Amino acid sequence: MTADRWVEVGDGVLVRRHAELDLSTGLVVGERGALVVDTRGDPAQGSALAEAVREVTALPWAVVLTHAHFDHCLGTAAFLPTPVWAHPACRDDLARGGAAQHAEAVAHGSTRPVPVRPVVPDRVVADRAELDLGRRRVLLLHPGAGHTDADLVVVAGDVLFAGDLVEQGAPPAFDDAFPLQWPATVTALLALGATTVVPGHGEPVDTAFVEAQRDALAALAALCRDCDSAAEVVARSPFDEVTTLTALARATRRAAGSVLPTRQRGRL
Amino acid sequence: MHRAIVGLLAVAAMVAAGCGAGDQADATSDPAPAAGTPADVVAAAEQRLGDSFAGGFVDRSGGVVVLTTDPAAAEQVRSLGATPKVVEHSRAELDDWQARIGAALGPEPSSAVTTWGVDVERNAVVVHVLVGQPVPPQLQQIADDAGDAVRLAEVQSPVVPLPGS
Repeated sequence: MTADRWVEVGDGVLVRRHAELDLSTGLVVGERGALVVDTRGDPAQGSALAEAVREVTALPWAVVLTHAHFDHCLGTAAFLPTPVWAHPACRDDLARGGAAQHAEAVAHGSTRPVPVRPVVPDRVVADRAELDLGRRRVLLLHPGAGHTDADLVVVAGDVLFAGDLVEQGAPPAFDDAFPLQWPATVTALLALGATTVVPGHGEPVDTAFVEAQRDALAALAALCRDCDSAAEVVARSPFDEVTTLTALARATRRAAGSVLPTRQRGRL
Repeated sequence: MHRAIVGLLAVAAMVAAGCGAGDQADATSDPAPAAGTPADVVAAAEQRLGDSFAGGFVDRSGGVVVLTTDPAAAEQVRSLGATPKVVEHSRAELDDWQARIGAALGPEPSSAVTTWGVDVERNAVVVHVLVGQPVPPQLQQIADDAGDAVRLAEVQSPVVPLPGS
């Protein structure tokens, strides 16, 4: 197993590459403070990340969580006491006590007998907010529904931390996704002007990679809207069968539950 | 993105989390941070103080401050190596107000309100409202009910600096 390592992707902007789940967490360092982007999947992993951050900077830190999936948010305790930022729906999800995150962790091989009780974020941003770290401003933005309905991205200069709205090295994960809206959300990310995009999993990528992934997401969304049979969607999908069927299930559930299903069909 | 509103900025009460070096965590069990970290001190304080716990933070000199609604708990806080500060609202009360605000505002982003949260040092839920934007009536109602536990702060600038700067 490869050791976790820092990759500097901008001035004072670092990515921590983790062997576990090929996760990427982030660190933005200003003159007066630092912002940690995601905290990993359990308290021990969070402690290891906190130690790694302390090797980079001794400045006060704050935490932002990109979304409420276990591998991004269950290591927060090691960073307390500190403000923890998240989307309101991410906050509400974590306030439910961690059963959902525990189930995800177990599905990914965790043998932990009891759930980690999540740290509930205490600062929420529904749309956008900007933090001043001292000669370094970072934008926290909810670009719309996509990987979940509560994704936050972080923009630091030319670098965008996209959470799991962008994936490198594995297909996008649709289990809690909004497949029909996801492409437009990625288009919104591209409009932010970043030149380096840090996925929640995998290596940092350029905008051409993100455009290609957006196009693949859009192709799948179109198939989910227009095809009559699941077999046809799978046959024509740019993604593997399991990914495609998960997306299709989410897309049809959303369409069925939508108050405007016919309009939704006409869009994109 | 939904709209090109001016971002409201909430105060990033970034606090020094002090130490952090050394103390390798045990990967098999995980009473998370190693003994003696600010996280540990605050977690221990929360456990001991129970309902009177009102949060904790690390001050500019790196010391841990623990807030409590119970003046009699000060000695307990000192015994943990932290500085006690007596305040009016417990953390549970503030969390409850925060949740009520979230429920009242609903899932759709508001152009007037984009950030709100527990500001431990101010012992209040601080809601940032953009200057010139109407305060949603349901938010105003909560603020009226909560007294100084909920503070509406008008912000002009899209950037809120760190406290103390």
